Amino acid sequence: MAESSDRELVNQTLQGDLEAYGDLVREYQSSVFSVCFRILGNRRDAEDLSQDTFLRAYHHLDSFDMERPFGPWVRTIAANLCYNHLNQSRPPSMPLLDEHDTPKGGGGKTPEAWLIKNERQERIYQALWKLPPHHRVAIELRHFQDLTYREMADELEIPLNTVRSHLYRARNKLAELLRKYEGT
Amino acid sequence: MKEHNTPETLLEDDHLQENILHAYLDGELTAMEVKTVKGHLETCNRCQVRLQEIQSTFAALDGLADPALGIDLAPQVLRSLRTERDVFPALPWITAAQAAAAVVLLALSLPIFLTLPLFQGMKTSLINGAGFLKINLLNLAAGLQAQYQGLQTFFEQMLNAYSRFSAPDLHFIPLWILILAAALLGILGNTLLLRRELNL
Repeated sequence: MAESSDRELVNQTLQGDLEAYGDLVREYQSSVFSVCFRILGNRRDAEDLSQDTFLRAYHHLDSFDMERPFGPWVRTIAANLCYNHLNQSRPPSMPLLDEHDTPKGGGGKTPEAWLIKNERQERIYQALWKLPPHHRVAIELRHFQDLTYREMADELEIPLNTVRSHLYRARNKLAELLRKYEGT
Repeated sequence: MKEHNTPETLLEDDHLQENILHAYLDGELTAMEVKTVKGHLETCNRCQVRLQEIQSTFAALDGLADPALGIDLAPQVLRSLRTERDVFPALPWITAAQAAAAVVLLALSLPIFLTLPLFQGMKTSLINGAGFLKINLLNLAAGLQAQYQGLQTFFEQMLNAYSRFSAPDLHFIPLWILILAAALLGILGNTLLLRRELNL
């Protein structure tokens, strides 16, 4: 959807047209769900948090910068909500497979398995969900939302050096887990 | 990374620092730093291997396909927003200001209404009412003063009652009612706020 069209829908929503907001939700729900699923590792939680994201975005719509695209804005809200959710819920949501199980692929083990395309992807997801919440969010914001270090620092309200350290520790841990799962 | 590093600070034990390699792949180094990193990579096999290892993690993440949502979230989101709007209808500040201004104007114009024959009876009632109100306010003030004096006794009774795990001896009923009313109001107010926060 073109940015100008998004702007138009945001304007209509601000004027009280809820159907216009419905169109925005439909346009971005898949990408918001992907953010939530990658961070949470649980389909039901990801759906709930996706809905919460759109409710939160609606209530903060007056602070949305019309000069910027709607998609990255709402996906960053999703990442933040998921991060807070993981920090508030102890213990964190169970990942795809059992904590001590080394994934060998083969979908159908869990309700989430059907969402994932193949064994390789399942292993990557599994490794991702083994990371602590702050590392998952760092990976999400950098790799999937393409935020710069500075933007990540602002978004997560952490120092720039912490962003750097989160990122390289997260990637190193991810690489280590992938090596373990792939038996290399 | 964008903060300037000297060529020496990019290295640790003659090899590129781990976070520098990551920042290089993230496009977070300055042009000068990129030049230094490239120059080092041309001659350092160990750093080349490390860079490739990091790149393979990047590639794994890049290849991750988005999961399929499978349902439409819009109906539920809109239902929540409509419910919210029904329970807490938006009151634009301009509407609130207009209402307040109308009340003030009405109050200011009251003496004019009272000069009309139609309102003469009401005027007498109002004067009587004001007198009644004044007497009652004075009584209330006197009552509160008495209550204040009895406050210490009240708390002593209450503490004693709780320490004995039995019902307190309720000599100051109005005060109890006041506390109960405040509590109920607090619960009601917070429930409404929570409902709003939780989008119930």
